[in-house]
Amino acid sequence: MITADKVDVCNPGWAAPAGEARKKVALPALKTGQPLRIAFLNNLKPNTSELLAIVEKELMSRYPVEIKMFERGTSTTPPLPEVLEQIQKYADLVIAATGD
Amino acid sequence: MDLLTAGRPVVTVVTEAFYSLAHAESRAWGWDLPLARIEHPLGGLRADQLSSRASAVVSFVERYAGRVVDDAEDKEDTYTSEPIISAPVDPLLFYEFIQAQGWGDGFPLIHPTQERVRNMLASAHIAADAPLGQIPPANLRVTAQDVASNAVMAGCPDDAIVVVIGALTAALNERFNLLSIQATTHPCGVAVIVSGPVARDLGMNAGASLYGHGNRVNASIGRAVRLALQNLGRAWPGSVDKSTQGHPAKYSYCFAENVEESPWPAHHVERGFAPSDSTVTVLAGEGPHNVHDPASRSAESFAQYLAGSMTHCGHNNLYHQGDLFVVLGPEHANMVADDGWSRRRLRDELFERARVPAKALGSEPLQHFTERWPRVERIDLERGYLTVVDSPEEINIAVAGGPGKHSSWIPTFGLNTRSATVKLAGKGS
Repeated sequence: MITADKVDVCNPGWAAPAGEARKKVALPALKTGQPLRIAFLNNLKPNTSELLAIVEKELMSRYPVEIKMFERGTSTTPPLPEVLEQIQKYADLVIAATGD
Repeated sequence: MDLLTAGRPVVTVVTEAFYSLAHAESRAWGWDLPLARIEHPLGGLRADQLSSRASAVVSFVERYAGRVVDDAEDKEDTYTSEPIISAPVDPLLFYEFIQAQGWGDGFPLIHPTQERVRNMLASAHIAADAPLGQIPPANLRVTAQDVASNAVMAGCPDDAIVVVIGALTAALNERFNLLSIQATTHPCGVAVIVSGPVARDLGMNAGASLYGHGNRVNASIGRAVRLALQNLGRAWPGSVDKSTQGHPAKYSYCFAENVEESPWPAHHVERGFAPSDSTVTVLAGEGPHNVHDPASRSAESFAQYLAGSMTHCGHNNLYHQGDLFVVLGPEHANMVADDGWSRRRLRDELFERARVPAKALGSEPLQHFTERWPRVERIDLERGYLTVVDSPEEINIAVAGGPGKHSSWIPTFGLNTRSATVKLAGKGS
């Protein structure tokens, strides 16, 4: 439709949404009967190992947790399937770092 | 996302500068991921500057322990409104309107009226609802009409839509890794190389100044691809497209092979296509690095000089490897061929000669390479060099350009992306 000052155009930012509701994530409690097992997934970006070392120290000083480090390989490729499998078997909670 | 599907909660640590990107990617995967934000930057800090960032991570975990994380900002996609919208008729007001919506690239645009979009698709016999796929990170269900809206806006001739759709189809190939390309801090643009008869049929420039200005078809195809990636993938510069400095090639990056003046078959023939096929190849390219060599009179000399140009520090192939492109000017290509060298011989020679001296890297980058990247296997510290790519097969060679003793090579995003080629439907045998 065209009027004196307006015209209908195709919306260049429009495409049909995938239509799936986004899922939410619940974190486990930090204090339970068993020590919480936390996996650190480290993408090896500069200072990530150092940051996670401090996080580990702080968490372990306050809560009954066990922490294990897993390396992602590179920051822009998915973790290897075997790494994901190991984490899945081990962890109650995963902390992945870092988007920087 | 396998861990989440398996019921393992994942907290992702991001710096403030990358929160919007992480949030967009999270949405693309269908999750509101827990994002623990820390002050930017992380890399480059001294050890004594890390504790407050680590405390922020711990605080986030403490805050949400035992409950659902619900702190994502900007939950709704405010850009998805209606497929048809009312816009100003006046060209200048339309330009301002589009820019205000975030759908522009900074240059004036054409009204994508329904009639223009319809005519474009009809000229190529493409159904409006033909599915293209899902462009990350938004992962909306994109159709040919959605692409054509952007192609009209970019100024594409109607019959060029087949190349635009072909380029986007190639970019959705898994090996291309479009999600990372859309979001990376690296300045790669999606370069589009058109091979085969379609380039001539469309009037594309394969000769002088082919990377540059002047040819509507080259310019508008590259621009349409960029607008579609931005608008349909939601790769907004600054928030999702995190390129640290960007690049002029992110406006438009498209050229054709100069098969007529090449001593060898077109590049796509190397990939198993027939010379009569028309194809589109996409690569996540840095800008072309010029190689001016008016002095060489032999393939031997030229290969050495060209290899030397590929051995500077800073390009992503050195860091992450992956494949790269060498684009020979026709005069250089014919000089090489006149010495009896095949394209493969040149490729092999470039691989052998393009070695970066380890000492050129400086101590800390070299330590970083050595300790942290898979590329370390290609560092030969005893002989003191690094190769630029993994193997000769990672060096692609095309011929394009006009008269003159200039060639170029195009570094790419690297390790986790490879160029991808598709045959254009209905074009060629």
